[in-house]
Amino acid sequence: MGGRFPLMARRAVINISFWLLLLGSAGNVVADEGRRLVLVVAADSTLPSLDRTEIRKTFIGITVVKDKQRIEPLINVSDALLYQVFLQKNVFMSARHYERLLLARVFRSGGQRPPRYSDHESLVGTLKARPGAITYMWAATVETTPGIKVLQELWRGSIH
Amino acid sequence: MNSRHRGYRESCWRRACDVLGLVFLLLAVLPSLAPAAGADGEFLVFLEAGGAYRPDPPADSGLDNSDTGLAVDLFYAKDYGRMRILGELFANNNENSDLDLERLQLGWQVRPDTLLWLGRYHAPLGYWNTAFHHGTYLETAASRPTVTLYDEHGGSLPSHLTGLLLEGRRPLGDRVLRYAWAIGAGPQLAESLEPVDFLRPSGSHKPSTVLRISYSPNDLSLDETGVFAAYTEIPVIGAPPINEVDQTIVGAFVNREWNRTRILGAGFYVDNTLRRAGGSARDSFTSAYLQAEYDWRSEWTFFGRLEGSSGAEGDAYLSLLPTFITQRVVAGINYALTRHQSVRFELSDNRIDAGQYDQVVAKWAAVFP
Repeated sequence: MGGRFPLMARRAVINISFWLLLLGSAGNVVADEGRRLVLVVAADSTLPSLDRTEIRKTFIGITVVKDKQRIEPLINVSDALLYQVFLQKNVFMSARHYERLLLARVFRSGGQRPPRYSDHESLVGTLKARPGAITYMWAATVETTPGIKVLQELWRGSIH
Repeated sequence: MNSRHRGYRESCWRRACDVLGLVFLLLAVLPSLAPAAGADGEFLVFLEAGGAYRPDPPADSGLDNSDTGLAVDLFYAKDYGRMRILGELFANNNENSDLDLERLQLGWQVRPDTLLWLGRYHAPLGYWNTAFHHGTYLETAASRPTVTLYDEHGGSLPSHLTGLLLEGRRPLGDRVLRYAWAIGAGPQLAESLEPVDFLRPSGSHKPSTVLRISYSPNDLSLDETGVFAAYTEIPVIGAPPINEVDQTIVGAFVNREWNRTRILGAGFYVDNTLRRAGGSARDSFTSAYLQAEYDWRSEWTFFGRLEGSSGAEGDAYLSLLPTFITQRVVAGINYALTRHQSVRFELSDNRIDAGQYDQVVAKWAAVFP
């Protein structure tokens, strides 16, 4: 029985490492499972929930009117991961394809692309100011931002 | 220093001045338009720079061994309630360095899915002309099919009309039927086709009409399959004894995407009646292209294109436009440098009336913001 550490000490180190690893990964799993992507409107909005196709249409630049309100999508690029997950899970295309599609539609027949916001404060300000405005955020962000509310859940899951 | 060398230096100097002029134009126009666009409206700047090299161009083809070019396209669109305006200004430093008011359209939303336009617009002829045109960044390839070349830059078909354009869509569940009907003044034919020019109004222009009907299996993509037909009376200047060409075009097009693959193509049947004082002659040709694209690792796109024609060699109308490419095979790659910039490299084997030549094209294209 060679080595500098006695067998008991080695076992203790292995056991502690195992439990630390388990706890760490459990924490991660909890955090990832807690990821919820939600559609957000102003707190005083009367907009009803939208179906998947209506959400895709409006973010692609096609006019959607719901309960006599014209939906105005605001693209949230304040968090690169959030933007990527939104496009993959809701618009079903990569950022490159999505942005090319928006450009192509505008170049062909005019109109405007949905506005992009890289600053959280100005995004929230616009959301509150414009009736019919919608955007997407992590649920955790909505909880800490006054004046806005969750319209519906868009996606829930873990991110690897 | 011989006169040829002096001429070459002067030509280089003129091109350098043109490039500087374009840069100054851009710098002058951008700051004044950007704030307006930031407040509302859509302002886009498409830029492209590139060059072509031809090791052995056919004699008498008028083609040089190489050429380079820089182009700027300024696009602006804005909605005012049911009214929509769209303007596009294009400038380049090619041989016939020019500034064109590409589009100037005033639209009225007749119904939620129907727009009536008045002004100068892109003729809804096939797919390429309205989908890409001077928005080079939106294209994957470095060159465009010869049958889709712009009328004012050596193209054979009218790509700009001035008058009325009715555009609409009719949803059929998730599917959509689209239509466009244009009626307006077409081009005249001098050294090239010359559409109505708002900046330098002149010439003689006669009626033209184009109808396009297409079907999209999914409203959420750019997939489209359609047919089109056009009739144009083209006055001919300076090519006696021909004084007019009555041109009829029918064709079909497709643009489909499956995951990483895209196919786009179109076929044109063009019938021309060449009118002269003592009578008329009729000739026709067919031209088609098919382009396939494959996305690899998101930044890289490989593409290939076949272009072919029938009856184009020796065609009476195309003899007035001698650089029409009758056969072409293209292979290339497009690399996305950033979110809105890409470079493309392309090799092609081309055939024109004067003979065959190979060509290498490199192009950078971008759109801002």
